[in-house]
Amino acid sequence: VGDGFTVNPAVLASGTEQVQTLQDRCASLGSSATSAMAGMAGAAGEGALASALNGVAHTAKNAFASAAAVYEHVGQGLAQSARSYAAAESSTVQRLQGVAGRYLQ
Amino acid sequence: VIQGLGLAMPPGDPDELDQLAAQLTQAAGGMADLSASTRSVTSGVRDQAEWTGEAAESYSAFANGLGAGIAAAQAPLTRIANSVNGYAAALRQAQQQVANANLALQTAQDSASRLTPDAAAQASAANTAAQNASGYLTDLQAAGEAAAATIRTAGPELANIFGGRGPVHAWLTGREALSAERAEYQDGARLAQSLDKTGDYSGAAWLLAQHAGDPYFAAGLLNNLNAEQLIALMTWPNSAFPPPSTIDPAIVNAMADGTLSSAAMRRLVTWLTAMDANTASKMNVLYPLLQQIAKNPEASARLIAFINPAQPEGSAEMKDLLKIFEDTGADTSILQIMANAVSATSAQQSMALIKALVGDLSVLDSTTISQSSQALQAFMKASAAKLMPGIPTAQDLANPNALNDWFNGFSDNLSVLTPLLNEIGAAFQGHVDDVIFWRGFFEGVALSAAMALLPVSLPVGGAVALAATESAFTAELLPYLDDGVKYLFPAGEDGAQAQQGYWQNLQKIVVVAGVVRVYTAAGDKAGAEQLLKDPEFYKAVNTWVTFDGKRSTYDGWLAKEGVRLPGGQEYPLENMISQLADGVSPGTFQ
Repeated sequence: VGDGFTVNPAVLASGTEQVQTLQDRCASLGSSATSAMAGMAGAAGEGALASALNGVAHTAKNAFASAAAVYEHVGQGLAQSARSYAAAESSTVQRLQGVAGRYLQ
Repeated sequence: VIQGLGLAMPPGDPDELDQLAAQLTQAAGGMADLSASTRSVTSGVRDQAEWTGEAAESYSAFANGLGAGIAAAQAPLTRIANSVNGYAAALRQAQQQVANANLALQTAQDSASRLTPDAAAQASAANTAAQNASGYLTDLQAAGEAAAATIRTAGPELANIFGGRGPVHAWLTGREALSAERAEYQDGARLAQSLDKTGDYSGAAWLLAQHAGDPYFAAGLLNNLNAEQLIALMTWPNSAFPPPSTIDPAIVNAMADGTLSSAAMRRLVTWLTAMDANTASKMNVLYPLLQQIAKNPEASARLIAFINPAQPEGSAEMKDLLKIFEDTGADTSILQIMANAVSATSAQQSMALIKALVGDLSVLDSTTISQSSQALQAFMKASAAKLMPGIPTAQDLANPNALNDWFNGFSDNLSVLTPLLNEIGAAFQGHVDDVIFWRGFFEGVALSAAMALLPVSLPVGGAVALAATESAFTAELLPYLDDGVKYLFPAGEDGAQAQQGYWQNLQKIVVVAGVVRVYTAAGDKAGAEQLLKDPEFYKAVNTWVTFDGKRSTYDGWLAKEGVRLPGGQEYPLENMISQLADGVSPGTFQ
């Protein structure tokens, strides 16, 4: 897990929930933006403009899907880090056991 | 003259466009707020958790990349909304002008049909209105094209909000690559289906070897073969064309990656452990595969975890594998696989696994044991490293028995190795080279204990710390090690004296090495050099070191007595300090 000898796993774990909230906000904004663009394509009437709006709506949908995945990755990373720190009696112990392990192996 | 049938109304709903543009503008503004919140929340979590170090830095870099990407979406979304607003205004004007022109046309047509006096004027007005409207329609077309062009430029920006570099970009790129690899799974599956029709596995073997680095292709193929097909593929003759080279790396990569299904793993393990009439003939296939698995820690861990030797059925399969190894000679891959699996097992589960594997190793005869020293010691070392308890905290050490408890716990855990130690001791009794080799194991255990314990637990640099550790070491760990090592000192001759001298010498080195380690942790060469120049450190060590009741310097004592240990003379203080400070482990520690 790296250094960070005084890290508080509970705070990291709570970060997962906060990031989930951000992810939900992102999904909501993404839904609003892409539906607006798709609606514009229908309301534009003009062929080239409607085509451009449809294309960018599709691109935006993918971009927001990527953003959601990145948020999820950050949240999962925090949860995993919290579990790792909590699993060790202390990160110092973990590091030093690693040192000891190297001497045995 | 009144021309035409009126102008076509340009399609579209400008009011709805404005409303949707406002919605998009609001979402774009929300992205800016979300970016700020993302930075605030993610940095706040790190700060409040007091999270520092490389992992925390990586997290911050990733989270900052996320925040920047979210912020980067605002500009293109806003530009799209503005473009649509502009087009809506043009559309509204054009529609109004067309409506005006069409109304003027209608009025002119009515005047003309009634032959009213103003018919000529109405006709002129209608023509003017039509010309105006046509101009607006031309402008509208230009506005539409301009808006479309602007919106098209926003597309690549949105597609690339996380930039062309940086940790988020790298992660997303890897994620896309993963998706592509999953398509390879389908290719592998289709190849498996084709084997039903051809019955010729040479092509499949060749393709699998070509896809050695693609666990999804291998899994797609292997997961969709039945047991008979799997055996046919694995034993397809090398004389076939094209030559299959080796399919082992592909199998092992898929095993390590976890993409092999449980059913495929079951078919593979059943074949590996089957003792049948074909056992001898399949050795030329089984050995290379086991060797490949032994080189891959993840594959080793997954194989042993799947066999699950803590269960009776798994234990039987492990023994079958070990018997194959025993019956067929010098290949020790299975022992390395076991060592890998122990190293990869969590602290909570390691005891049960080690206990089970030690039990399974009882099937080996003394000849096999004596031929397998290095592989067995690799397993023993991996196990001993896992059996060390958690280091006592500063609060724990307020209890005067804490050190003894720690050594006692380590000794208790180590006792799970005793049955194997007894077999090893019996197999090696009387062989001087083997005795020296195996003493190194106990030395490693003792040194590792001191290395792990002293840096965090004790107020270092003084005789009190040295004596406290010596006392706990002597009372708790030594008896266990003594039980194990007694087989390695032949009875008679000077066996008892040799044991005593061995432990006394090792004990002093262990404790001093632990203290040295404090000052040389994290490659602190300056600290180590300072230690070498510190008369108080030498005074503490040399005060503690006595031999035959006479005070001596540590290095002087080591020069005289260190010869009793394998490589013991390699532990002079200066040598240890300089090697540890350079990040080099003294050879005999390993």
